[in-house]
Amino acid sequence: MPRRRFKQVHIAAFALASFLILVAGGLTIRLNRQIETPASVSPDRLQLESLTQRRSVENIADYFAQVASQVEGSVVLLSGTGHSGIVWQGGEVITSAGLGPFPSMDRTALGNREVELTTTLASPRLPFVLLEAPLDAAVSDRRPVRLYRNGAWLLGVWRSRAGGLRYTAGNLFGVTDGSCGDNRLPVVQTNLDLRSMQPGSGIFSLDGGLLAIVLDCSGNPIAAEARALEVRAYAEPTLLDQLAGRYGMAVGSASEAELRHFGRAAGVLVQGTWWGYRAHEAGLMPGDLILALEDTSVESVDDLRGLVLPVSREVHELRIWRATRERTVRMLARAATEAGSTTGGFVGRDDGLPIESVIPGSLAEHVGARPGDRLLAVNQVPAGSFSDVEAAFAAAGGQPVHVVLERHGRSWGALVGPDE
Amino acid sequence: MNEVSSLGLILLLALLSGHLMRKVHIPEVTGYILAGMAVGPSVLGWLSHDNIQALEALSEVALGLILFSIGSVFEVNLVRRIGRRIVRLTMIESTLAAVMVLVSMLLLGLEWQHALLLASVSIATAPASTLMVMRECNARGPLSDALLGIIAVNNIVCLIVYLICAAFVNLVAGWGQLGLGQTVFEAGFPLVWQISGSVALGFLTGLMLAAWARQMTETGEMLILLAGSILLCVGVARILELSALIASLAVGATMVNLSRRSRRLFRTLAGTDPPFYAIFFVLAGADLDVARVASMGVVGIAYVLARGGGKLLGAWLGSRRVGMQRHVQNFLGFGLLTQAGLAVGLVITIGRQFPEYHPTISTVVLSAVVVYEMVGPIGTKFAIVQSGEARVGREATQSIWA
Repeated sequence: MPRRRFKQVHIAAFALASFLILVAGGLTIRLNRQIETPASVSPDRLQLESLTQRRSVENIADYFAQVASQVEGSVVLLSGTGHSGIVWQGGEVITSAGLGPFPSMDRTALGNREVELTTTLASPRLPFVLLEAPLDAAVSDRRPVRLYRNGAWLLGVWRSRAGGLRYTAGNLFGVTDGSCGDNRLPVVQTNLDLRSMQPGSGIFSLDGGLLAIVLDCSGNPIAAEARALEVRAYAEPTLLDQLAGRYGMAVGSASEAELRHFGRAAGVLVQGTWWGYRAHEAGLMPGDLILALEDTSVESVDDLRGLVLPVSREVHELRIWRATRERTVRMLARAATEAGSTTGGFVGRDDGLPIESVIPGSLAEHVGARPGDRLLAVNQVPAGSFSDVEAAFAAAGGQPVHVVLERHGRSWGALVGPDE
Repeated sequence: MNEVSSLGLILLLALLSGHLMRKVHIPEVTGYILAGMAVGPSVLGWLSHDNIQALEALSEVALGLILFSIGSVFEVNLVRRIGRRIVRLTMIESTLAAVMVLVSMLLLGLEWQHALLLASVSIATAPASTLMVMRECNARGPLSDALLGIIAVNNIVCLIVYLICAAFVNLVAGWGQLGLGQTVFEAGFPLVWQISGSVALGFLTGLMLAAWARQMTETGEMLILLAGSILLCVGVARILELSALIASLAVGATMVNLSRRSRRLFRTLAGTDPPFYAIFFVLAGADLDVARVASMGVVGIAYVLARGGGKLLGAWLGSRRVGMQRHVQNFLGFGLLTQAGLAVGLVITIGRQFPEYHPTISTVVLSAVVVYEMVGPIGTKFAIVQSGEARVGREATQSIWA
């Protein structure tokens, strides 16, 4: 059969068109590659790739390393706490709050120099902490998680205790409502091993957007959505937030049953304190009924506003009702804590009774006690031994009992008994 | 075991198992794949994943050469003679296979995205093992011509259908999240780029090959030129995220139409390439994970049956419609059962593009591939022998088009 001849000009035209297509397509791919997701690193996938003799274009490990190095500038090591921190805004770093109070200062290495960071927002009510320093580091670019498809590749990035950059890759599985302590927060679900990452690590998308920050919630790490944290961080603090942040105490109006139990007509109840903060140092305990602040009687939480006003006062005087009598408590007005300053830097505590087990169906279970918690007081009498506890329950004689428990540095009180 | 000794092992095993298989009238390809499975990581473990990856470049050449050979069916005169019928036939068999898979997957309660993507993957028929069986049988005749044409067109159809399905799934998922322009671009760009870019790359490589081949007189030089061009083409296709499959086909198609030396080249190739193919199939077998068959489940079994049924029915119906001879009608479908490289390639692409659908799809397709790689070549040989087109023993090393 005779071979069909093609005209030279047609061949040349087709060759030119082919060349142009390749150049145009190649350029488009180059521009778009930054948001491309590379193939997985799982051995299964690698095996698949060799099976078809089509290994991925990108060298996967290199790709992740490249993304990690892009965001490296915004990830710092806080050498005092050992947490990682993410540069949040110019000179402001966010990290995870730990157990107990966050130190008022921390340090980070920037290039060859050490930089001091001052804690600007720390509250036992918040699972994160903001610090400020004269950093001119790269600022992370916060992105809403909803822009990313489920399954999208994520990179968890942090710094090791030695300051080296560490990262791990995983996939996004969506956002769910979650909580950390009293905070309801959107939690980013991933298959990243959060326990292997430092508190305060950042979770980034492959285009360098910051999606989440790893927060330590009483020992359980969660990936809290960065945008939601941003909203929380810069929201106007309420009086309750301020009281918690400055003094480490949670207060609320006492219920009628509580007032009846304490035999008082009015007052604001201390519902919880955080160990190491001013309220705890001053000796305030959950279950204390605040009757007056600097000789002005206190009937509602608003009456405690004097505690957060910028006044010259060094010490606040609170009159409280505890265990059948009125007492006066003196509480330092400065926000910072000095835990450990007189004990050679060792921070710990010796009050309260460790709870080893909780009997099912008992009052202890009813108040939410768990093994590992500490029992601090029964009916506002500090619990020094279990015979004290036995005596307190015997004295109650079937009446409601007020107990104070502590878990992970936070103590709270509850009134329980036949009437509750 | 190091790479050199594993290469030696592969070649000798391929030879041995090929001989054994011939004795029991089973295609040598099946023997190669079985031998690969036996020594591969999932059974005896003589070949490790590292060995397999180190030898990948050789497989790469082999696959490129196989597709280059198949590309020669796009010779203009041949296309004019049987092209339209082949395209119609391919459309019918592909549509039936895809529809049967789609319907059975939906009936089993899979999400429509899973069903759609699986249906598009089910179209693929493996060119390499089909071609090898045809060469082994030295097959010539209308069924062989049809088979060869179909495996060339079928893979292009499969890729286009997959890209359209993927674009659709993407479009539905991305609707309202990104701007309209961005959504349409992200859905449509791969479709246009993979087809036009791959053809363009193949054409330019083929053009270079054809022009250079004119200067060549020695067979050895020709082979170096060919291997170099194919590797370059496959490599560039990877960099530009194109389909190496379509690009290699396009090189063959360009060469066969523009170079007078193409026939000689294809003939020389057929005489020298068996070691490459042996390595390719043994490695492909070694990489199959036999344990996957156990995990295929009802969905996997339904996929295998629906695809097989669709291929058989589609080939029968299609060849009737285009007026093929009776023996072609009866046996063509058995030649189309193989499924391997492209299907697995698409599974990887799905893993990258739609990680949420990947676990189900990879389990189904990869287990089905193990089954089809066993059954497919036997089906192809059955079709060729039953239709009386096998001429085993005569001019055994000749290319079937030479």
